[in-house]
Amino acid sequence: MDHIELRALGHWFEGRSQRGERKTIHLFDNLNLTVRAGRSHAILGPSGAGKSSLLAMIAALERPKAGEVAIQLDGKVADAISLRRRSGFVFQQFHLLPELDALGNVALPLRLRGDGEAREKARHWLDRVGLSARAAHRPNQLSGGEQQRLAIARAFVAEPAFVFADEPTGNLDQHTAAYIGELLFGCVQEQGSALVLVTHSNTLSRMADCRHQLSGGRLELLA
Amino acid sequence: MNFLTLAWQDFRGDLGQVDIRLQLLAQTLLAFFLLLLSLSGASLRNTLQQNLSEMLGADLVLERHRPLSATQRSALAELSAALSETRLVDITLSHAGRHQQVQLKLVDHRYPLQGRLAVGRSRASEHESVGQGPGAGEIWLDTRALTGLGLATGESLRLRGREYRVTRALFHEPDRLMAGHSVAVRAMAALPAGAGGSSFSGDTRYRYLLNADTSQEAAIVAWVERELPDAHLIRKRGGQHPLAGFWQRVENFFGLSALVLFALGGVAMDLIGRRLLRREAYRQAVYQSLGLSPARGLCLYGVKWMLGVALSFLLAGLLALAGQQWVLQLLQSHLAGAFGVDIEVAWHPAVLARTLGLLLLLLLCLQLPTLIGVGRASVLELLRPRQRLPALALRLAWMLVCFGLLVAAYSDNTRLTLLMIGSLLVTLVLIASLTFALLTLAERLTRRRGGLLAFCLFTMRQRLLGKSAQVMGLGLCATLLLFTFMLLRDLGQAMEANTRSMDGNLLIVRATSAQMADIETWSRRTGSALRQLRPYVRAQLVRINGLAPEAFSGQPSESLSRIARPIRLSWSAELPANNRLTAGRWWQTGDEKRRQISVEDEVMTDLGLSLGDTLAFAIGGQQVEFTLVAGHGYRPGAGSITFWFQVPPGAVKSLGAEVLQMGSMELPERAWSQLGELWRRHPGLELLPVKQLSERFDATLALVTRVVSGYSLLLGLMALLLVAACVRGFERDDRRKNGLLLSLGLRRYHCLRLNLYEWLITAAIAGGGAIAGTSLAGQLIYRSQFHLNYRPDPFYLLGTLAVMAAALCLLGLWCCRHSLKVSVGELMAES
Repeated sequence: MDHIELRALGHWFEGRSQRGERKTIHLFDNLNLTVRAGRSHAILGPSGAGKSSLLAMIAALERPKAGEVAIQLDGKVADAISLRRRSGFVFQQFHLLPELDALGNVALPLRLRGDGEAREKARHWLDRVGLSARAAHRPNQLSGGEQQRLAIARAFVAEPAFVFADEPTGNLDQHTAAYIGELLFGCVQEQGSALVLVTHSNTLSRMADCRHQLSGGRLELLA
Repeated sequence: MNFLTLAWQDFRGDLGQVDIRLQLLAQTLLAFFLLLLSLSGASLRNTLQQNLSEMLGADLVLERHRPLSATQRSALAELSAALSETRLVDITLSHAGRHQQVQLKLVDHRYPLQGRLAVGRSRASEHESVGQGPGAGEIWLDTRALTGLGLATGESLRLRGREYRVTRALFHEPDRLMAGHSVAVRAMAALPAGAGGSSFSGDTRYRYLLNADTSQEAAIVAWVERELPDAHLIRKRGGQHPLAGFWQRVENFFGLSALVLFALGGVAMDLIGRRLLRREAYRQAVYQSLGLSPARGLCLYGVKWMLGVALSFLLAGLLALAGQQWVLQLLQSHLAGAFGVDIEVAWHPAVLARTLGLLLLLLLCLQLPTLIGVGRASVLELLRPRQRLPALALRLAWMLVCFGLLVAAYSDNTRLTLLMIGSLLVTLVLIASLTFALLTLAERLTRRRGGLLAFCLFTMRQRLLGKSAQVMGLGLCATLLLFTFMLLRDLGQAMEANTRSMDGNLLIVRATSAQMADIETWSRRTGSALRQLRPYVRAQLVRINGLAPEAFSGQPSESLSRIARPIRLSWSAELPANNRLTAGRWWQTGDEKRRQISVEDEVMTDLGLSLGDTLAFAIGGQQVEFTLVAGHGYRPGAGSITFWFQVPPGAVKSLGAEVLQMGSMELPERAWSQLGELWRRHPGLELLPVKQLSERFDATLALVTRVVSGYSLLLGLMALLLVAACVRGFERDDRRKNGLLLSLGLRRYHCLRLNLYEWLITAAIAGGGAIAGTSLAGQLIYRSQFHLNYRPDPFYLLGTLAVMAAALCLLGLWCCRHSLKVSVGELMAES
């Protein structure tokens, strides 16, 4: 089964204290976690605990200072690039390309893979997230909730094995956040993908199969 | 005070930003170039003006290549308040085995009518001012002649069998202005009393200095126009300076250069300005949300902008003052002696104020859309600015209008301005259409195909609006650079082609039949070989289709200024071996006595002649008309001597004019030391060692090269600035795109490849537009403004374009590589 395994992961960076002295800031140490296909994980924690950094390491966007991220895809050991090809991302800031219209943004991962059906598949996903009427609109012509729906459609259009979401409802009102949460988890279930979610929202985190708390450099499984 | 402090703090903070620095640099470069051009021009014009009022030596000077008849002379004396006669002859002086070519001026006792001569008791002595020329039996030599001949004042030299004593070193004559920018070595002696003609053979110029009040002057002008069509008249009051034609051409070139720099600077500043607008709008929104009124917000922005302008102007002013010194020194050394006085480096406050005022107006105009945008928008709009097509088009149109108006105000050559702006507008429309058509078509064709190229076309098509602005900016830059480089190269080549191709090492410029017989004997004795020999008569072109040449041609040109003096009219039954027919038909056997003429191709273009035109020449006191039946051009490989005007052999022989010879010789090393014999026997014989000729040419070429190098440096800097503005315009978008693509599983080299494809496509479209734009500008401007035929060298064009495209792609790739050095997470976090 496809999975990502974090083994004794540690990460820190150099900073300066208030008096201007060099200081090493430890985010986490000796951290272990396995993310399997079809399961959803929510990571909670206070601001500055290192949740987004941890997510970037699980998604192989960043390398940890210590430990190892082992990736298994289709029964074989895989590298970061292969994982990225099988992943989808949903960010708090959406990260849509402003120069592309809604359809272009959703079709982007498929076009990069040379999929001749990119436009049709993208249209299907726009329809799935309720934005087919907005296909020709640019991101700056859409509301925050609509932009996040677009980002979800883009994350799922290439049928990813893993989806990573960083504060997907952080910029949205309660009502929209609830809708986005349902949409995200609905898509995960439909696709059978794994989901790793970083959030402050208890409501959203309760929708996940596993809830983890990152605090003081340690990751705890919540009941 | 708080308000100003805030503006100052904002300004200081902004100075650290690359965009602000680029904008200041563009402003400084523009201001520097304009100030340099204006200040140098003003200094030079001032000197020319002073020359005209103080150094003409009279109110009017009439020059002719034949003496006035006794009747004409007395009529002129009658019309004027005072008259002085001088003659100029080019001769070679010899003394103690040394030879020096000089321009000898023979003057009467009334010379000069106005101003004074500057002389010295020795080469190095103080200047002494005198009101009269040398007495009989005396000769004054300029310092170069004294050095060349190894003479000192007090010594004697023989000239035409007569002893002359060198009594003074000649520093300056008040009618030097008539010599234009000639740097000939000079000598002065008294005009032999009662002589109807000078005792020196050679090409003599007869000058009559006249004093006259306004009414007398009008009468003289009318009389000269009526009676002496071959005479050249210079007036102190509102007259044309001999350098005016030369300077007008120089100004044409610099006018065009200013235009090119304006265009590049304007586009660069507009590209940077759009990004600055976004940043400024955000800042204004924050300030307004904190209670600052929109009007005060605008004032704040205005103060910051003015601080930037002041800084640019200050830097540019200092640089321009230093630059002016360099330019004027360069001109002074090249035109040494032509002015007689130093060209004074000055600030010219009025010129300075006008130039900076105009530039301020341009910059303000370029800022206007930003100011209006910031002033009108609500806080929400300021925080989330949108680019709309009509606003962009309006901005572009506004920029073009301001730019056009300013250039029109600055350049006094309206035709050139209109031609250039017209060409640029057509180029812009072409590039915009090409971008739209090509990207749409290519994206449609590759829509169902995978790969990075298809993806690249897709993203480019999606951001068509922004991309068009980038491609148009680069296309404009490429057009201007390509056109300027091509023009510089073609001007250089034209100069070289005119002057360089020589055969033999001694040119016989002018020899009478008797002198030629002596040369032949001498060459046999010294083992020298005569290479080429062509007969000619001196002829003055006085009318073209019944009009004076200036009136017919309409525009100043090299050819027009040359035909103000008598030209060499040669003849040949057949097309000479070193010529090729470029128009019409050469005369056949039987036509030899008919009054037909063939004119050199470039001269025809310069003067605007067509086949069938009638050209009237004054030859040996008679006026003869010829019909233009052919055009000829130089063909290398069969001797270098070619004539601008050629007629059938029988057409001039019957006129009885003095037949002269022009030719070339190859002298062995030992013959050079015996050349003095010829000059001693024939002081009027004009022989020119090719080395001397090439030295003169090299000096001119060196001046042109230095000026061109300086200008190219400015142009290169401005182009680099524009490219940097273009690249930076999309840097943020590219970083975001790269971050996203890397998160989707692409490798860094995929991003680089994608970037390369994008720049190659951009460069290809911009290059295509640039070639079309250059061709259009070439067709329109070459002939009408620089009197050159537009014959583009496709290899040179494509080669230059390839170099520019490669530089652009490398710069784009370098920026992309730079942005990819950070990790994906950082890239995403930055967005």
